Amino acid sequence: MEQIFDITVNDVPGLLARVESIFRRQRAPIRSFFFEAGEGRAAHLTITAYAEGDAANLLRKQLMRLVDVHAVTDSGDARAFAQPESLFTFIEKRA
Amino acid sequence: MSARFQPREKTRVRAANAMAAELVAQGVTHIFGHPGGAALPLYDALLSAPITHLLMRHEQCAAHAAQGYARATGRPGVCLATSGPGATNLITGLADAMLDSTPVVAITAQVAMPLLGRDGFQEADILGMTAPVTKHNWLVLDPQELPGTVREAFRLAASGRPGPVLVDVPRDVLQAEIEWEEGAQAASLPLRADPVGLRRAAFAISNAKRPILYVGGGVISSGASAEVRRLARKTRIPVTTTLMGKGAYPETDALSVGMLGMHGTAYANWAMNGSDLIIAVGARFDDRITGKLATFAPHAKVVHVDIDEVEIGKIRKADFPLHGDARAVLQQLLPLVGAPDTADWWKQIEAWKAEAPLRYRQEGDVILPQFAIDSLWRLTRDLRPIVTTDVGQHQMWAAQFWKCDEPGTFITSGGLGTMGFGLPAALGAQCGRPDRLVINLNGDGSFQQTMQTLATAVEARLPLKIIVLDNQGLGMVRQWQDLFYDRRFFSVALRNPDFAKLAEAFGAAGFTARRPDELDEVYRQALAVTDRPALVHVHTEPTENCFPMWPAGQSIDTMIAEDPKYTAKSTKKKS
Repeated sequence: MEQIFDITVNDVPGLLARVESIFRRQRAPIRSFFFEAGEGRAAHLTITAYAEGDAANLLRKQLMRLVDVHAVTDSGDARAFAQPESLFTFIEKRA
Repeated sequence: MSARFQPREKTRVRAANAMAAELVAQGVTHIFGHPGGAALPLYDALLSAPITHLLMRHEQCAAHAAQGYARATGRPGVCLATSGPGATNLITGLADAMLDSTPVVAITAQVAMPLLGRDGFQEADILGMTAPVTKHNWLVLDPQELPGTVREAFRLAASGRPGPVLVDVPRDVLQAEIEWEEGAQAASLPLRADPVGLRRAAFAISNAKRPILYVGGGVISSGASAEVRRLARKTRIPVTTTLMGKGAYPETDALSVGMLGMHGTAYANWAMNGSDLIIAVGARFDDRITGKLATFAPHAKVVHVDIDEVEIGKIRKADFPLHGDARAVLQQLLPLVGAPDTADWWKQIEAWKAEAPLRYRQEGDVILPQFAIDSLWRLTRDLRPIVTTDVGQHQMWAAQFWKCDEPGTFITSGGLGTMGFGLPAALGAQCGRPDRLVINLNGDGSFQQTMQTLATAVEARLPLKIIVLDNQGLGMVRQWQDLFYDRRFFSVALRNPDFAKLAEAFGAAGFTARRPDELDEVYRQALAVTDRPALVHVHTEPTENCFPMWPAGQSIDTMIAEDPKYTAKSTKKKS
C-alpha cells in the first residue's frame, strides 16, 4: 500500500541520495516526492512510497539512522490521508 | 610534540596542519594510507605529526588495516587515500566495516574545488559512491569547517552502533589558511532501555525452560563481555556466540556451546532451534545463523538487545525489544533476573554434545587444516594471541577450533566475507597492540588477494605470524561445487607459488610444513622470529570439507552434522 513519510532533515549535499537509496534497497518504489527548504539548513521532505506494514516500519527506522534526518512522521496509508486520525506515528531522535 | 601541534589559542594555520593536529588530538597513533597528488598537502602536514604512517601497497589493504587496528584496540582506525582510484579502492574495506560495525575514519583527498564535477584528473564522486557503505560522509567545502568535521567524524564512528565514516577534502581546502583552536570532544551517553520492557524481559528469562544467550559482535563493541558473563553465571543459561561475537564469552567455559550458524557446532544450532527463549545481545539474526527463517527456532520467544533500532525485528520478531547499549541494558537487567530451572535443558544439551562433537581425525602423512589450526592454538593459547583470519574454509575451521576467551582477539570479516581481509587486518592489529602476539590464519586463495601487505609489514618490522593453509584451491567454493553442483569443479584449483620463498623475497622469514609431525617445530621457529614477519606455508589436504554445514537458505534440520566419511548417520533432525 502507499505510505506517506514526512521527514525533517538538514538540507546538506548528498541527503536526497541517501534517502532515495533507503527506499531503493527496501524495494519501496517512490510514487511522489516533495522537498521544501526551511530556515537555515532545515528542510522538509514528503515522500509517498509503496510499502507494506513491516517494510514501512523498517524504512522509518532506517531513515532515522541517517545523521541528517531529525524526525520521521509515518502518516500511514496514503488513501486515508485525508482523515486526520490516520496520522499514527511520530518518531523523534533521542539524545 | 612539535610546537605547531600545541596551539594555546586561535592560531592561523593551513587547514591540512589543523587536520593533522585534530588527528593527534583524537588519539590517532597510526594511519594506514597511500599518498597521491591531491593528498600531498595533508601528507606534508603529517610529516611533522607524532603519528606513524604505514605505507600500504593498495588502499583496500589500508581500509582493512584500519579495521584490524580498531577491532584490536576499540578505538577508530584511520585510513587515508588520494582522490579518484585511491578513494574508490577503499570502498570494499568500508563496506566490510559497515557490515561488521567497525569504527573507521577514512580520509580521502579530492581534486580542487574548481575541478569538482568537471571530470578532472583523478576525480571521483566518492561521496556518492560511499554513501551506502558509511554511517555518514562529508565533502568539506569550507576550510574553516575541516577541524570540526574531523572531530565529528571520530565521534560518529565510535558512538551508537560503530561504523565507518568518510571525510573527503579537496586539495585547495587542505591548502587554505584558517583560524583554528583545539576543540573539545563531545561525549555520548550510553542509551538505556525502557524500564517496563526490561521487567517483562527479566520475567521471561527467569521463567524460561530452554533459554539460550545468543551473543554477537555488539557485545564486544559495547564492552559488555563482563555483563554477559555475570548474566550467564547467575542464570546458568547456555551461551552461543556468532562469528563476530567470538571472544565476547569465554569459549572454554562450561556454559559455552561455541559458535552457531552454518558452520557452527551442531549442538549450538540444535540448542538454538530447540530453545523456548532466545536472549539476543548485539546480534542480528543473519541468514548464516537462521537458515530458512520460517523453520528457525519455531518455539522460541525473543528478547532482543541492540543499540541499533533497525536490527530489532528486522529479521525475527522481537517479543521483548530492548533498544539500548548492550552494556547499559545488561547492567539494568542483571538485578531483575532470577535463575530459571535449566537442569533438564542442560541434560539435553550435553546429550547433543556427546552425539555430535566437533572433531577431526588426523591420520596419515597429509596435514588436515583443522589439525594445523588446533595445534597452533594449543601451542600459543597461554600467550593470549590476537588472531585474524581471512575468508573461506580456513576461517570456519578457525572459528570452530580456535577457542577465544577474550574480546577483541578474534578478528575476521563476518558480514561481507571479504577475501584479502586477514593479513592487512593483522598488520593493523599489531600496530594497535604491539604488546601482543598477532597471528594471521590465511588460505592460499585469500592470501594472494592482499599479500603485498607483507612489504609494509617488513618495512615496519612487525613480528606478525602468517599461517598460509594451502589446499591448492578456493576450498569453500570447491566444497559447494562438491556438495551442491554434482562435483563439477570449475575455476577453483590454484597453482600456487612457494609461499615461504615469496615471504623471503619480501624480506620476511619463511617456513614450510608438509607433514603433521613437522608442524609444532616449524611453528616454534616462526614464533621465535621477533624482528620481522614470519610466514609458515602449511601444505594441507586439498579435498577436506568443512562440517557441520547446512545448504544456504535451508532449514537447520538439513544440517550435515559431521563429515560423512566419519559417520554414516550424517543428517539429524532436531526441533
